[in-house]
Amino acid sequence: MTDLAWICLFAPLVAAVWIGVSPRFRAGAGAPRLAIATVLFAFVCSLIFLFSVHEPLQSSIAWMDLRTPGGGIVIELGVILDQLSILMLLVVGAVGSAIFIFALGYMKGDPSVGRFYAKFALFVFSMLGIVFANNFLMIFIFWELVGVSSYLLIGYYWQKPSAVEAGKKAFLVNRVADFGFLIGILMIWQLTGSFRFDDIQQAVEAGALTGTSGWTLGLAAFLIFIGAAGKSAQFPFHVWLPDAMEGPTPVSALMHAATMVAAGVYMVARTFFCFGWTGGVSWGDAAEVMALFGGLTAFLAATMALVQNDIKKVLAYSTLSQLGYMVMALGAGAYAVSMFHLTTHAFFKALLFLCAGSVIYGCHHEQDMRRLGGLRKKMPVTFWTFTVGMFALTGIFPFAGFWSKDLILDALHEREFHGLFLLSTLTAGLTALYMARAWFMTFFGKYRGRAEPHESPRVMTGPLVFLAICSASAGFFYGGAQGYLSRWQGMVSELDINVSIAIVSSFVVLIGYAAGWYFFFRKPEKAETVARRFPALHRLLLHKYYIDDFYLWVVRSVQQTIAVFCRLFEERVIVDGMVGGTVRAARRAGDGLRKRFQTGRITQYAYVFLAGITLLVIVMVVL
Amino acid sequence: MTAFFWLFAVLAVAAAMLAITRRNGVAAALWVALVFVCIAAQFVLMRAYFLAAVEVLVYAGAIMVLFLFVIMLLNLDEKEAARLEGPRLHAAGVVLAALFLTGLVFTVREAGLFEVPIGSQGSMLPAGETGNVARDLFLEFLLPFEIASFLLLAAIVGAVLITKRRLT
Amino acid sequence: MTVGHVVVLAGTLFTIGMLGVLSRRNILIVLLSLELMLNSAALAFCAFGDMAGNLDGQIMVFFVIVVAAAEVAIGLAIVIALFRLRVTVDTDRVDLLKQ
Repeated sequence: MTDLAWICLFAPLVAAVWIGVSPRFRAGAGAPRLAIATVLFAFVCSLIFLFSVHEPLQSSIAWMDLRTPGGGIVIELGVILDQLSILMLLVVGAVGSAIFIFALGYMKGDPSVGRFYAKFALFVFSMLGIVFANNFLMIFIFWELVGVSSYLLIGYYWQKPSAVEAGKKAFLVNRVADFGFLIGILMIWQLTGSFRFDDIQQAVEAGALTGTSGWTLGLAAFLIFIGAAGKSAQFPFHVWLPDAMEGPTPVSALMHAATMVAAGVYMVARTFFCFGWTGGVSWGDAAEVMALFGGLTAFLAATMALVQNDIKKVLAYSTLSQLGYMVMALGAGAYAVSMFHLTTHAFFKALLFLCAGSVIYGCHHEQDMRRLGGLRKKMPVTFWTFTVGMFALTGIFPFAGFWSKDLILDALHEREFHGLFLLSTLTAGLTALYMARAWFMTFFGKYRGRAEPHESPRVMTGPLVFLAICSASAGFFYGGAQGYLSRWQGMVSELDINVSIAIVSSFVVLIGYAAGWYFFFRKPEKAETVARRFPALHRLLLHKYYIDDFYLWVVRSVQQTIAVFCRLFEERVIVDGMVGGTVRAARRAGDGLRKRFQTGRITQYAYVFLAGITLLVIVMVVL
Repeated sequence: MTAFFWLFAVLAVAAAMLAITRRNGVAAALWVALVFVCIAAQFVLMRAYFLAAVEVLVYAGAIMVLFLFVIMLLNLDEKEAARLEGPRLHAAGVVLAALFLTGLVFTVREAGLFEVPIGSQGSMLPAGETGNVARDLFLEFLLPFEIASFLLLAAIVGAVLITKRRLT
Repeated sequence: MTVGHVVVLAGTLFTIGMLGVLSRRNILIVLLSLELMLNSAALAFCAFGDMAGNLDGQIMVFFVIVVAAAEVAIGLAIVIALFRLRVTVDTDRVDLLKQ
């Protein structure tokens, strides 16, 4: 089984490298097919694992052996097959396959489609590495690989300066967060002497880490969460994600649904023993902070989504918001619920993004909702699948999101996070509001664009239908999924749907829909009025709470000042003084030696030689 | 044996001194040839018969002939020869050389080499006859031997190239 | 007759050769002195080989002779080329190494 996992892990890399190094293959039709085959293979593998792996399996090889007699480290590459990684593999495989096939239609006619698929395969490889990793170092390596490949994909349209900027932004923001992650990893290594998850878990659960160590572990856990917050785009690292919409739509779908942003949540679930909800040890401060950040992100992102006009940006902010939910669930200790929401979210968010891609494709690369509209009749399949995705996202019974979101509310309620509970219920209403807005603006009313829209080809609608079926039905497995995950760690209390909470949240959602219907379909001018009534609030939302501006200010005024100072120091002292001084000294010494000793007369050289050996002999005699 | 050693040692040193002080190149070369012959005699005293033969053949024979040949080929004119007077011994050189030699003698005595007579290994050491040397040379030192042959080849090619009148 | 005697003889010849290199301006005599030095080294090798009790020292001398032959061939070729270029064999007037 683990052999299969190894093959499954490295197949996309082989595909990526092969496509990358062979220009003829890259230009041909074989490149996309090969990439798709590797992802489908991952999907098939996940199904095989799902039914045949009952006990966690591990296999690892020493990649670099840096052991010294007194200690040292071994950097291992390993695969771990347990319920958590298999579930994640299933998500990556299923959603990834759908997106890969969809991209076949979406990227049609793009001259460098081979390059696209090479990067895509590399991205999937990095993600699979995170899924299979059995130690912190490996997860960190693949973590960075995800960063690199996301940079490559976001900047895929390298002719567009904004895409290049977005790629850089994503990479840099992630790097900042990864720095925290790295420090966290090193702290944990310092505490337990191992990078392997099973060793660390044993050390933590043995209860040896109390007092200062426990406190340090809490700090390390918080730093690890910072790493996760970077990839999962939690406040205050969320700024890269909306900009990342510059990439092709399938990239956004893959990044938002199954891979990159899911990586953060997955990693926290994988290392959950550090966060203090297992084994009866409680240093849950890191977890509580995490829940707080999650709630904040969920709410802020939902409000920002209200004023976006780009259909992909709306979905991007909704992803942020949903990730906030997952992180909140993690913070409440319900990581099984969080993983379940991750799964359902992967399906419906991929679906929504692909629908948006279909709309963009059908309307000749128009993604501003103010110039869309009335597409219900023109693109029926896209319309209906989008509707399913929207219901799933907003949590309409019985679509997938209803179950998973409700379980999260449940978990918050049980942990008695009342403030967060209220906030997330409110956010559910906001979710309905902004999704209704996007829905009405895109599919109802009159078409406001110029080019004639058309339905997308079969190769694109097929994956839509597949994902729609998943989104509609995945929720019913809430019990099964939780049970399956509990077999992994065995100490999760399974949650069930709390009917009263479900009714309350459904009610809030319906209010959101009603408001959306009223403001954006019935009386669109009213929305303008409201915006004019609260100009400060509107501006605050439009400027995304001025967070980007704040970062810009920090970079421009603080960092720039330091940089200028450093440059002056470097130029004056280091280059002119030290480097230049060394050069001058060497040249002067060389000049002196050359004029004094290099006469070109052999006799003189022989004299020096004789003096040298005489000196040697004398030294030998004396010693 | 010791008498022969002293005889040839004194002869060698005297011939060497004469060689480096001769004004005439041909005379110097001939004195050096005598030094080589003396050294060959020393080899015989150390039972290195093969080396003695090679020394006489290659050094006193081939190399010296080459030297004489070149000296006559150049045929330095009177003026040039007059400019190259006898040795100009500088005090510094003589002092350094004396120091070096004294130091060497001390080192040799410190190392106890004056207590080790030649032939101390007795029958352990095979006589340096052609057969014995050849056996070692072709069994143990085959690779260096081949490399040496390449060196000679390179020297031949190099000598031809350097002395060619025009490099075209 | 001891190893020490032979080594000191070799050292004496070496020193004489060295003095020849230092004091002569005729490049041919300088080369001859170099041969003298090489030979003294060979002599020392042979003596030490005797002490060690095997033929390695003698084989080393054999290689020294090979190298010396090559060196003389090249050295004399250079002398001829030099003479052709500068019409002199005076080492003091050959100072191109300065450049």
